[in-house]
Amino acid sequence: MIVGRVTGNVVSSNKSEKLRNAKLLIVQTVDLSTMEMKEDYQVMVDDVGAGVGDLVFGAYGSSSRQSDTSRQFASDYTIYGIIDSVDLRGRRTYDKAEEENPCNWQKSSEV
Amino acid sequence: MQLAKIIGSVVSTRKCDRLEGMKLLVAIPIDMDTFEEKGSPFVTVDTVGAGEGEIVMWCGGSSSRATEMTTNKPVDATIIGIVDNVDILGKRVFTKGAL
Repeated sequence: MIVGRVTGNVVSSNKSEKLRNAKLLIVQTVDLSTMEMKEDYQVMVDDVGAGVGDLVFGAYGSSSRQSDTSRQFASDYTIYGIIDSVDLRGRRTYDKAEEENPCNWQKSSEV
Repeated sequence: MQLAKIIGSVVSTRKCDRLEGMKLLVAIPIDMDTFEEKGSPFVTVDTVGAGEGEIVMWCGGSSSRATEMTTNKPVDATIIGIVDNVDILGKRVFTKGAL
C-alpha cells in the first residue's frame, strides 16, 4: 500500500452520484526511507477520518472499495489507515506523537 | 509477482476495521540483477510470518486479496512467500542466510 501525507482536499459539487458523501483528500506520496514528500499527488477517498498533516496509507484499484463504507464509491484509491509510527531497520523513523508541526509546508502566517 | 526485502513495520491504530490484527510490514523492491534494494518502500500485509531482513515474494492488485487472510480486505500488496533461494540462467543468485 502507498504511504503519503494528506496535504489538502478537493471539493466537487457537480460529481458522480457514486461519489456523494465521499471525503476527497489530496495525498502526496512519501518516501518512508527519507520521509520526503514527492511531487506526486493523488486524490483519495478518506475512509478513516484522516485530516491534513496525517501520514496515511491507502489501497489502489479494486482494493480501494473493500470496506463497508468505501464500497459504494467510484474510487480507485482509498485511505485505510492513519500511521502512528514507523520502524525501519530497527530504528523509529516516524512517530506521530512526537511530530510538532506536520503542516510545516504552510507559511506561518497562514497557520 | 515481485520480490522485495522487509525493512520494517508500521503501526496504525486508526485504520479500517477489516485491517484489524493484520501485520503491516514495510518492504522495499529488490533489483533481481543485483539483489540490492531499489525503489521506495511500501506497506504490505504479511500472511506468512515474514520478518525484517527477509527477501519475500508479494502480489498486488486484486490478487492481493486471494489469500484466506486478505479476502475482501482493503489490501493491494500481500506477502505470499518467504524466498529461500533463487536460480537464474543456471546460476544461484540468492540463498537465504548466506552472507
